[in-house]
Amino acid sequence: MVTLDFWSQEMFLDANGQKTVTEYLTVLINQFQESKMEIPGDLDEFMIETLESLNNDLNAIEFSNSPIKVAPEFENPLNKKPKN
Amino acid sequence: MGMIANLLRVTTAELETYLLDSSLLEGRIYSEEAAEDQNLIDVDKAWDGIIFLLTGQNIQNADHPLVQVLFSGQLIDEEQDLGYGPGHYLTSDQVKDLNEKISKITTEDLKQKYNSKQMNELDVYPIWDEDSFDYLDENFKLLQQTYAEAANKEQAIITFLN
Repeated sequence: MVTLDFWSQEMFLDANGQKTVTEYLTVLINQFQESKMEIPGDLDEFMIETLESLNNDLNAIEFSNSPIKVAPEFENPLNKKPKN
Repeated sequence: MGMIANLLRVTTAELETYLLDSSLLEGRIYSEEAAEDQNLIDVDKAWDGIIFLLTGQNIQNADHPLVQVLFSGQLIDEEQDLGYGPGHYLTSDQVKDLNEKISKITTEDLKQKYNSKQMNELDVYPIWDEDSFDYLDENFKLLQQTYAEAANKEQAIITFLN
């Protein structure tokens, strides 16, 4: 069994086959903004390193030149409804 | 959205019900009414930072007793995935005990322990900056309030990441 660190878990579950890498960076930036946290200056580099590790080292995700449908067993079944 | 830590204040009877049938817990926290549930609060992405300030460690390595404020290690249902793993619980007596300990912690205490460089070296989630202390302090106060209220009402607490 492989235990992923938190960022790897998050990016693995976010890898839904529908977002480009650039779009995903925007998602992460928005997360920091929503929490009113400083956006790390090296967030792009960190994101790419983590995605590459998930792809190359763990074979947990793959990159595609076009949107793809992820197998149901890899989709996160739960989505919390945001508080109003 | 990121990984968010949630705390749900419940009565002892509710806790016992969820321990017997964890699907009822899942049904509650993912129901339409959950957004209005005054007993359900979140500390956003501050959870690992709070653990660091309380213990000097990140959650993956922490063996300090105060880790229990967010991750007791007592699982509602180890097979259940509430987003990022199962829910943890504390009984009302354990809540009172932890409340005694964390209620005395001040902003100044926390500020002395804040070290964004060390936090990033330890991979404390998410990524920390010199100016992010207020975010942690604000969420720690929310945690303190939740424990104080639960202790006052003799409630148990269930925590989970989603």
